[in-house]
Amino acid sequence: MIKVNLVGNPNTGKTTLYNALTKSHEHVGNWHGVTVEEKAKKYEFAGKEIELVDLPGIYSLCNLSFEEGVGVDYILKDPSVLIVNICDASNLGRNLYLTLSLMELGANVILAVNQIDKVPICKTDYKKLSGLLGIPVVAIDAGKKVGLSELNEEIINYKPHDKYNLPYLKKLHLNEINLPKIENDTFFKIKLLENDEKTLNKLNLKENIVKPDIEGVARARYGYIDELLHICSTKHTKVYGRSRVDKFLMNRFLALPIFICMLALTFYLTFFSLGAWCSDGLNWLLDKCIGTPLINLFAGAFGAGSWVVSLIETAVVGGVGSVLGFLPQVALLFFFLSLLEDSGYLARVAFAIEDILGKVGLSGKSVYTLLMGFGCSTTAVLTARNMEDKNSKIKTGLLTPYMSCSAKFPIYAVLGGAFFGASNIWVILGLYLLGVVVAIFMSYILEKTVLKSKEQTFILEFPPYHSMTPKRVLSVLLDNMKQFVVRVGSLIIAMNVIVWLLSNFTFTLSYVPSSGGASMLETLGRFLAPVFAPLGFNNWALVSALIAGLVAKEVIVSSIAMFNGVGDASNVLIGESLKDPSSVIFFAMPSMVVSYLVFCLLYFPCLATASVLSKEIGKKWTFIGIVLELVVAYVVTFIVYNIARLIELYGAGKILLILLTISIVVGSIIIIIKRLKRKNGCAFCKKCDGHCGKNKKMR
Amino acid sequence: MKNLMQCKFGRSYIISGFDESQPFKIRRRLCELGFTQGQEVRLVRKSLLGKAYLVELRGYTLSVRSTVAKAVIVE
Repeated sequence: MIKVNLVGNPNTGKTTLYNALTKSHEHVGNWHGVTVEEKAKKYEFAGKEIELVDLPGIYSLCNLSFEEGVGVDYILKDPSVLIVNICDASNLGRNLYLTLSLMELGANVILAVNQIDKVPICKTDYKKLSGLLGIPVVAIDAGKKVGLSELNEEIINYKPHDKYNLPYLKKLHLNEINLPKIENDTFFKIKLLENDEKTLNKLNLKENIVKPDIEGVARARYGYIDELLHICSTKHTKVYGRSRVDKFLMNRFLALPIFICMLALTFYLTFFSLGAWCSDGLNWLLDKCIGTPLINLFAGAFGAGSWVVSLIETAVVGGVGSVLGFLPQVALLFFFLSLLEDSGYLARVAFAIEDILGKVGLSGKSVYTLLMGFGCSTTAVLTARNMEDKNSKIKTGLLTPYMSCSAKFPIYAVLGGAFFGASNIWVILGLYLLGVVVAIFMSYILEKTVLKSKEQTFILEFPPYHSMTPKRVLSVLLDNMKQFVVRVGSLIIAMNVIVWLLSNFTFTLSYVPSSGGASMLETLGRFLAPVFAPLGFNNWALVSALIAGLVAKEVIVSSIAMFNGVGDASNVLIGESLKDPSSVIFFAMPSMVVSYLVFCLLYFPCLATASVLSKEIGKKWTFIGIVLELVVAYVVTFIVYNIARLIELYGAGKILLILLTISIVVGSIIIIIKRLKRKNGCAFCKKCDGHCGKNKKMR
Repeated sequence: MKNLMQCKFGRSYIISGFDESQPFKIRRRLCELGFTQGQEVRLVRKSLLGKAYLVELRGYTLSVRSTVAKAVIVE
C-alpha cells in the first residue's frame, strides 16, 4: 500500500482533490481552514492500493493557529511519506514557499498545480518547472476532475529522489551553525533560523543557539521562487481575490447592513416561504402515505388500544413525524450556509465584522464558527481551531452553542406557530438575535475576566468569488438530507422510544394508561418542576422534555407531541393540543411560550456538542461552559418572561415607556459618573491626566 | 520610513523591513506570506472602525489587523 499525504496552503482545493480521488463527500468551502483535522481513506488505482490523508492547510512548517499545528505535526511525524503538494495555479509564488520548506525537509514531493480559476491569471510551463525543481509536477483541476489519472500515475511510479538541489541555501551560511550530529541537519538548522519552538524542544535546546533570521530565510526562498517563475511563468495580469463586486459589498458603511440583509433573506427563504411550503407538503405526505397506514397495520395486528399501537402511534409516527417534516427546511438552511461559504463571500463578512468581534476578544475568523453554529454546533465547535491562541479558541467554542442551531428550529416553529401565527416570524427573529447578542455579551464578559485573549493577527487570505455548479448544489442538498434522515432514523427514534417507555411505565413497570399512577418521567419531572416555576413553566412534562432534549434538541418537540398524545405528524395538531386546557402540556399565556422558547435556545449544548467540546477545550472548560449556560439561560429567561408578562398585563406601550425611562436614567447616571471621574483629568483631551501640554498653554 | 498603517490607500510602497518590537511569530508569518524586503505592497481598504486592513502583494489579497499592519515598515 502507498501512503500519500495531501499538503498545501489553505483553500487551494486539498479536500476537493481528496473527494475526487477517494469518492468521498467531505465538507469543502471557499474559506481558509475548513478542514481542521486529518482524514484518511483508501482507494485503488491500476490495481494498487493508495491511502490518501487529507490535512489542514498550512503556509509553512511553522504553525500559528491550532489547525495548522495538526497539519505540521502530521507531516513531521513521518517525513518519509510521499507528499502530494497541491498548489493554486493563480497564486503559485506564495504556494511554492511551502514546497521549498518541504524540499528542505527532504520529503518525497509531487507537485500538483490546481487550476481553480477558469481564466488563468498567468501561464506557467510546468515541464520547465519540474526540471528546475527536480520534482514531478502535474497540472490538475480537482473540481472538474482533470489530470487525476496523471497524478495517480505519478504516485504509483514515484521513485525516491536524489538529494534536492536548492541553490539559495548557500546564502543562509548554514555551515556556520554548529549542531550535534543529527540526520537531516539542513532542515533543523533552517528551523533554528526560523526560531521554531517545536524544533527547539525536539533538539532539547532551552534557548536558540543561533540568532533567528526569518527575514533572511524568507528573502532567500522568495528570491529563488521569483527566479523560477521568471523562467517558466508569464507575469500576473490581475490580482487574485480582487473583484469589482467588492467595491459595493465591502463598502465601509454598507458591508455590515448587506450581510445582515443576506442573513435575514436566508432565514426568511428557509423558514417561512420556500422551506415552509416544502415542509407542509412533506408533512401531509408523511401522514397520509406512511403514518396512517402504519398505525392501521399495527392496530389490525395487535388490536386497537394495546401498548404496541400506542408506541407506534405516539413515539414513531407522531414523534418522528413531527421532526422529519422539517427535512426541507434543515436541508435548505445548510444549503444557504454552504452557499455563503462556497461563494467566497464569508471572507468579506469576516472583514466587515472584525471590528465588532475584535472588541469582544474574538477575531473576524470566528464568524465562520459562529455561522456554522446556526447549522449544527457539533461540527461548528471543531472549526474553533482556526483561532491562534488558546483563550480565543476556548471562548469561540463556548459561544457556539448560543447560536440557535437547526435542531432548535422545530421547537420555535411548533410552539411559536401555534400561539403567534403569522407574527411568529418576529418571535423567531428575536430568538436568533437574542442568541447572538447573548454570545457577544458573554464573550465580552469572559474577555474582561478569565479568558483574556492574546492579540489576534486576523491574517486571512481573500479568495476570488465562485459560483456553485448545479452538480455541487445537488450534492450539498442530498448530503444534508441524507444526514438528517439518518439522524432522525437512528438517534431521534431511539430517544423517542426511550421517552415513551419512561413516560408510560411506572417505576414498578406497570403500564400507566391501564393501571394509573405516575410514570417514571412524571415522578422525576414533578420533582424538578418547582425550580422552573419562576420561569412560568412548572409543568412536569415540559421539564421532562427539556431533560430528553439534552441528547438532541429535536426530541423536545417529539416529546411534547408524545405527552399530549398526538399520534399525527401534523405540527398544527400539536400546536392545537397546547392550547387545550385538558392536555398534559398546556400554555395558558403566550408569555409562558416565549419563556420556554428562550430557555430552549440557551440552556445546554446537546450531548454530542458537549463531548466534542470536552475534546477540544478540555473537561474543565466544558463543565464551566455548561454551568454558565444553565445560569445564563435561567437569568435571561427570567428577565424575558417577566417583561413579557408585564406587557401582557399592562400592554406593550406602558412597559416600553417604563423600560425607556429606566434606560435613560441608568444611562445618565453612567455618564455623570464618567464626567465626575474625568474632573481631575485634562479638560482638553480625554485620555491623559494633564500631561498633554495643551492645558499648560492655557494657563 | 513609515509603517503600513500610515500609508495612503491605492498607492504602492516598497517594504523595507519590520518593526522589531512586534512579536516574532507575527513577523515570521508575514515573511511566509511574502512580506519580504523589496516587495511591493498596496493598501486597498480599511474596515468601518479601521481595525482591519486589506493589503495586496505578490498578486493576491489578504486582510490583516491594524496591529499587524503597524509591524511592516515601508518606503
